[in-house]
Order: sequence, then C-alpha cells, then structure tokens
Amino acid sequence: MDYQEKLILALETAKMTVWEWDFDNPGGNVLTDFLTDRGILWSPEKTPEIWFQENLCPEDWTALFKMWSQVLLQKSLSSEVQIRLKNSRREEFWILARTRYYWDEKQTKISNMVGCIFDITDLKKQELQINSQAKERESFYANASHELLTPLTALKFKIERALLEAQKPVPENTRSDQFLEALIEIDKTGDLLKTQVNEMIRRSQNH
Amino acid sequence: MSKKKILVVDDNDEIRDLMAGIFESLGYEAVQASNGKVALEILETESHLPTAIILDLMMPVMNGESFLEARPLSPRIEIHDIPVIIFTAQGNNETVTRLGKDYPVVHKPARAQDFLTIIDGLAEAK
Repeated sequence: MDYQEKLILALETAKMTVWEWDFDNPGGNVLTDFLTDRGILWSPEKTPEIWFQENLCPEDWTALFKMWSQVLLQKSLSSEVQIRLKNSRREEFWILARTRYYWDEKQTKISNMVGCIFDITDLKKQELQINSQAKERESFYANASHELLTPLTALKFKIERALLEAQKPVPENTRSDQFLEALIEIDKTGDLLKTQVNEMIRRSQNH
Repeated sequence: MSKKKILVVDDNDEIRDLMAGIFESLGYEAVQASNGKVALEILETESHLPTAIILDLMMPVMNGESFLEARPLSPRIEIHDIPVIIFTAQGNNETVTRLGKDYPVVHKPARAQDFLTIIDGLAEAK
C-alpha cells in the first residue's frame, strides 16, 4: 500500500470517511463504524446477508453488480457507486462509495482496497425533491394544456360546423336561427375556455 | 354504395358529437366510442366496418395506447389493419413521438375536414 497515495485520497475527500480493506486482515475498517453509527448493521464477513437484510433496491444491485464486474473482469482500478440503504428502523440513507483497488498481479486478485464513503443522504433527498417537483410541474402543464385544448377543439369544430351550415342552401328565416344557435354555442365555449385559462393562471401563481 | 364510416373514439362527449355531426354533414357515416374498450366492442360486432378510426389517447377505462395494443389480439382479423389517426391534446411527448412512427398524429385543435384529407390520402396509398 502506497501511504502517500492513501493520504492524497484522504485529502481529496476531506470530511469524508476513508477506509481501508486489507484482504489478509478483513474487518475493523472505518466503513463498519460509518454504517453502524447510522444504525445499519454491517459485518464485512457477512456482507451479502447484510445487503439483503437492509433491503437494497434493485437499481442499487444493478449498480453494484456493474461495479463488481468492472473491477473483477476489467480490472478497473477505481469505482464509484451510489447505494441506497435502509436500516432496521426503515430509515433511508444514501452513500456514495469511491474505491481504489490494488491488484496483486502475481496472484491475480485484489490485494487491497482503499476508499471513501460520502454520506449523500441530504443531497439525494434534495435531488429527489427537485425531481418530484419537476414531475409535478410537468404533469400540471400536461393537464393544463389538455384542459385548455379540449374547449378550444370544441370551439374550432363549432366554427367549422357553422361555416359548413352557412354554405348550405336553406331558407333565409331558418338560416338566421341556425346562426344564432351556433353563435350562442361558440360564445359558451369561449366562456369555458376563459375560465380554464384563468384557473391555469391561478394555479401557476400558487405553484 | 354504402357510405364511408368513421369511428370516433374520444371520452369527451361534445368533441365526439361535433366530429360525428360534421362527418355526417359531409356524407360520411360516424360511429362513436367513449374509450378504447367500447371501440373494440364496436369493431368486433359491427357488420359494416369503419374506413378509419380517429383515436384520442387520454381516456378512462382503456386509453388510446392500450387500444392499439389490444387491437391485434382481437380474433376478428379484419379490424387489425383499419387505419388509425391519433387525435391528441398532448404535445410531442415520448408516447406521441413513439406512436407517431406508426400512425398519423393530429394535434388538438384541428378541423374535422383535416381528417378526411388524411383518410382520402390513406385510401389512395392502399
């Protein structure tokens, strides 16, 4: 293990938890403390069971498998993965794990790992909140456009119908009645459209 | 010769009635369905099948996209290839863009006669 490299990594990731895993002497690393401090059970010797117990979501498993395959098959020297964890009280935590690996070329295996854990729970909550607000806004505009376009469509059809009627040869006295009826309907749809526009403006101001 | 028939599928009664009225005044026969499920029932039972289907996307019970997925599963093979024109108030979102690769899309509002131009074009292309 190159101490200088480890120190640089620690400095680069100031305020973060830095841990080291020596495969010849597993356990007792800082990761354990980091997780147990947050009520998450962790034991390096029982890692898979702990992941299952802590109900890791499938996306995280995918991310982890991708990371492991990169490390083990492509012999990547570093990895970064975001992991969602839940403790026994069902509280949710997010961590960003950055790891550097040291390969033992002779034995073709990882000899050591050094990494840092960022507690990104607050950041992740903010990100989720922003995403949820963006989705809400998107849904609001989709609904608003639907609510507005429906009466506008009806209005267009009524005008089209009135124009078609106007082209038909009919007695003069019935024509004026039909036109009056068509105009009343168009006027009503216009009022509905106005109400919808005002409602949309009101809602967007409260948003 | 029987009139050309158009199936109008939209959950809004007023839009459906207006479209059907205009089509009828232009010499077409119009049938109406308030959602995809009703449309399928009509298609599976009507003896005189429509020339085209005008399909809204956002509908309760069975929306337009689900209708398009269910139609090829119908035992009545003749209904599988009836041309569909999508009529939507949605912008060019992911669903509309995807469906637009297979079906003509008309955005609301539009003139009812625009559909007849498309239907005539589809008939000529056959």
